[in-house]
Amino acid sequence: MKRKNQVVSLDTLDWQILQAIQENSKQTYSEVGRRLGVAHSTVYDRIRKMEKSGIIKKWTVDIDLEKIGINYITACMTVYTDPKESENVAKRLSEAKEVLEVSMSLSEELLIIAKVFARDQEELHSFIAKKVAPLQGVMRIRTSIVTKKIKEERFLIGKK
Amino acid sequence: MGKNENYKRFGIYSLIVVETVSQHIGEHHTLTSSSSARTFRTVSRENAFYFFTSVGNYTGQRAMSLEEFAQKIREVEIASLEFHLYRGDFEKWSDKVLEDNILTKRIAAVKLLEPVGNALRDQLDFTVTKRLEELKSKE
Repeated sequence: MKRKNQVVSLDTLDWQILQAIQENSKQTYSEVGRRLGVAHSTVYDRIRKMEKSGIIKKWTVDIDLEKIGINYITACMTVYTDPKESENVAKRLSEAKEVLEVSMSLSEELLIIAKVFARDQEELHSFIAKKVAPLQGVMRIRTSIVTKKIKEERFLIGKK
Repeated sequence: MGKNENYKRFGIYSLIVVETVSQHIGEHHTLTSSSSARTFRTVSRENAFYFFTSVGNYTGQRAMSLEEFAQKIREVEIASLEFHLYRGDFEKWSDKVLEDNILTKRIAAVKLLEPVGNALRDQLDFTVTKRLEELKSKE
């Protein structure tokens, strides 16, 4: 694993390990090793290095909230901001527990796009009205509530 | 009868009703200078009134004082006035932030009339401007 201007270059085995654990992170080192034809200690070492270098950011679990009785809505919120304040607005949004993702876009205007989570429409509106609209530099907000999710996946690493 | 004509007729009628309700409420309240000052003050950004047209859709218009609120009522989209009136947001802001019991009751009276469109804007404008003038005259 070599570092070149903040970009870490991986060899084929690193890529294969990432691919395997992205598909199923519950696999043991031995299972991954067997699949790739290497020792489990090699898999362990490689994973440790990728954790240390920040390539593997966290180990988590994808929970189906509806199955445990948590009803919620998600919404895609587009915040039009004064360019001078956009960094600060994005930072403040990132700190809110209701916000799951924050991205910035410069298509025609400077926009901040955020994915927001709430129990219901009232909670969503209250969050946007009380916490987002008052932020310095917020000029307008457009929000679309998600009514049907067709696909939701993380980017999967392909074979190198 | 055209829609505008309807609004005009309905508007005039309901302005009279709001006026009557207002007078009735006014008889039972004495305005102190401190309560007048509270209603008149400019509030913080966090306590300002933010105009939305629907859940999560902020117009970019906000009011940080009663005077600004009166002005914005004349400017914002009618959809925004309808959204907030029927959710009770105007009443809540008047009560919790401006702490103006009289204005709160008058706005509630407007809501009871279920106005829409221009009639709604006219009635709110009338109600808030009238209250503003009352407070100014007592300053």
